[in-house]
Amino acid sequence: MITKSPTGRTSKALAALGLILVLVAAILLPAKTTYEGTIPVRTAPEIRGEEAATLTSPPNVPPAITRDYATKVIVDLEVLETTQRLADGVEYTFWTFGGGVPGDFIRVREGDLVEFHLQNHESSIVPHNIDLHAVTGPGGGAKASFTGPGQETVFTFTALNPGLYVYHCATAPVGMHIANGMYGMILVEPEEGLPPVDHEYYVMQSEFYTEGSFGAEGHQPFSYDKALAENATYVVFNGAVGSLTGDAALTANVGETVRLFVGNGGPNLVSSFHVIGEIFDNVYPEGGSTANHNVQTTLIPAGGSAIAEFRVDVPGTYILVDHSIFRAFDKGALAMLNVSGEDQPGLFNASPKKAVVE
Amino acid sequence: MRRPAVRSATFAVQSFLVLSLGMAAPISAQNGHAAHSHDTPAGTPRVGTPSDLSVYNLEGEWLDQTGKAMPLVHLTGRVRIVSMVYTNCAFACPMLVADMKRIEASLPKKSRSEVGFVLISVDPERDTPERLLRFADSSRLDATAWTLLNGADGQILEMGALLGVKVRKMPDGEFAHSNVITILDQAGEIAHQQVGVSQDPGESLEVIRALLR
Amino acid sequence: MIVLRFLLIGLLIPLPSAGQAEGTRSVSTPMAEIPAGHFVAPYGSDTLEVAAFEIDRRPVTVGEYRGFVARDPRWSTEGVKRIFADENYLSRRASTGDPLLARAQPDELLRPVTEVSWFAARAFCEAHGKRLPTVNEWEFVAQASRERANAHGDSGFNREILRLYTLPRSPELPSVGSIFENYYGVWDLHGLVWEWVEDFNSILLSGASRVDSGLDRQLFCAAGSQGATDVEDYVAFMRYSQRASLTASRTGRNLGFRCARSSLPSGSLARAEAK
Repeated sequence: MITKSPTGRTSKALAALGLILVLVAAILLPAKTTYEGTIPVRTAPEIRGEEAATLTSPPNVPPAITRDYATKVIVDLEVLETTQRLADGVEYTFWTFGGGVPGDFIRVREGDLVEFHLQNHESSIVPHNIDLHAVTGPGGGAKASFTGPGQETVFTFTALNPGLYVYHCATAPVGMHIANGMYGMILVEPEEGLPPVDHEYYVMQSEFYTEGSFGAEGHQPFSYDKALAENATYVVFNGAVGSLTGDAALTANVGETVRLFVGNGGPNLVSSFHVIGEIFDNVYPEGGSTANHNVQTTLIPAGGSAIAEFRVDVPGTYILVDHSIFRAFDKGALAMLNVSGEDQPGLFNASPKKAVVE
Repeated sequence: MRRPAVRSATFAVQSFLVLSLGMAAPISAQNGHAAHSHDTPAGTPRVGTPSDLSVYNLEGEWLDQTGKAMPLVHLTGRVRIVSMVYTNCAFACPMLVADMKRIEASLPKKSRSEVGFVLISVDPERDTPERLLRFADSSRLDATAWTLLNGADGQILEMGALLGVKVRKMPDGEFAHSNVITILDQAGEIAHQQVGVSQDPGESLEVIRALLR
Repeated sequence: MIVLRFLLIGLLIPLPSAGQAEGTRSVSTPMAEIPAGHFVAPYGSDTLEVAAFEIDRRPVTVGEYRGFVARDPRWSTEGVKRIFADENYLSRRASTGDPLLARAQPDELLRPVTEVSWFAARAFCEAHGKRLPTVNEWEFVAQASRERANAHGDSGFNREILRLYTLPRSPELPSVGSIFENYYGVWDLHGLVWEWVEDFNSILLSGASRVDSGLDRQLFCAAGSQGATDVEDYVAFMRYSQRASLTASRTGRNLGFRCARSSLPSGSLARAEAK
């Protein structure tokens, strides 16, 4: 800075001006910290209109969201305590969201305002509530949604973060409510949506703890001791042994893309999720936003999720398992994906020495 | 066909064991309860008969701070702001009363005659009408607007159950209670509740304004 | 006629039970005497006291409640005020499809009455010179197994209770007197119906004069509870969480009641009551 003259008054004026400029800059320019950009500030966007949520029973998933704005989504979910098949000849009294295990799949978009109506059927013996992992707020909604039999509660939340989230009942004794089947999943699509695929499926692993051993027939009560010891009697996909096998297997055709929304309701065990004969082209570990590629087996925490995407290239039956293998073959953690279509001997040839018949 | 009313409660209880073997027939005795007379068409409230959802349906005798009997149904006609407190309460009750006075002060003067404030004591043993009068004086409660009520334990239990106010007497003689200010409409039906102490009265005032229109 | 009725009552003797019995069990004396005592609160470590009291040996039946409604039309479905009972009051149907109370078959009359609100239950008990039990009185009696007055810590007993609570429910409730008679001679405390207590509205208030006690925190797990460390806590949590979901005018399919009465100073059961 060139001072015109060495008079004190000018340099003082310049110093004062400089000070003012520094102060203005400090006020107007955002402070730079080490956290800038890594933890976003999330605010509720403007809400346009409202719609009723489409909920689906597993293994189906509601259709992809096509709107490009945030809306109010009204979710109606009823808790029903119901005795159903756990395995052949084995019945269990499940406590369910929507009538089955796992509970209905909920699909919303990042920024949506969700108005959640929880009903508890009048035949229920105990009250229930819900904790959705997608909720930012106390208890994930648990206290606000404490609902006695025959009653309904309502609360609202903004789906601030995208991702695939577990929801579950959080009424004391919590372990028992979860062990009886009170879990499901809610997908919060990112604003830009998910890339389209040919098939989306909802698969949720969980355990059941019964007084009788695996396969003991009749109505089986919940075993507190086994649950505490984490000694699972049944480890299953979608609430029962064989629920995704035979006629109920998942399906796809050669060349199609499949996206699995996989959850783990626990209550206790972590899953080593693997599809025998397939490799996951993309995995979003823990249902988050970062993709891993070329994965054989992915870990799904209890109360967590994963999104697995792959293209099916070769026809046949592909077995979904928890690769803690005794769970798959001895306790029921086994599901099937049937892929139909033309053989691809270039990719997989069971009997390479035989001539290919056209 | 009429049958004589059963006289002895013990007899009644024990005889049901026998009657339940199929000997009984339902008795439809008209005991002339005033609220169930069929003179008036359904839906027309008789004078003095509270509406179906009115808190004033509660039975029992209440005394106000002048020692006068105050049947709850006499509270009909004005919007009432109600809370359950006791005079020996150190913290929460004075704050609740202050919250109610805040509501009172925020009302336009012309509305003051249409709104009343009710304090129901949960401690009837110590909060006699005389004590309630002294409390009203020392708290500078306008006698034309504030009613302080003394009722028996059973009535307090029922009022708490109706208003959703939890009250429990502690071993040391103090009372644990939840802090709720209830707004009853002119018929005595619950219109709104303000939960907690030192709350913003904005919502309550809106509800009151709407009721007075 | 009166003499005949008392004779017939005298012939109703209790039959021996073997755990959960099928069919009807007749119980002669309607109330059991419970001596004063204390117990550890199921949800924590407070010691709670109860004074001596009497309690009905089994829940109030459909037949008994029907007689009450017949004598007091304020509690009929037409006469009841909505503030005292919700729209499901007495809506249970008999096997004929008719309202259970009006057209019950003889075996249905012995079922525990349900779909009654707290106000209705109180009115019934008052009409019989009784009252509802307090939660502490109820819990004190309910901690007894068949052989012991206090089965606290008996894990086999508590596992049985958990099983009773979680058995699949048929829409038709069994008759009263079908779930074991405990040490005090009281039946049906576990697994038949939940039961109203006088002070359900204030059980969440702790002994420390604070609103929203530790029990309240424990009932809404995500607020950071732990503490359910064994199956005894489990069954207690089920009972307390059920009570926490109640409001006074609410009715429930699995919610009935029985009555109690404070003991006379002499502890005598004999009362001459003329109304």
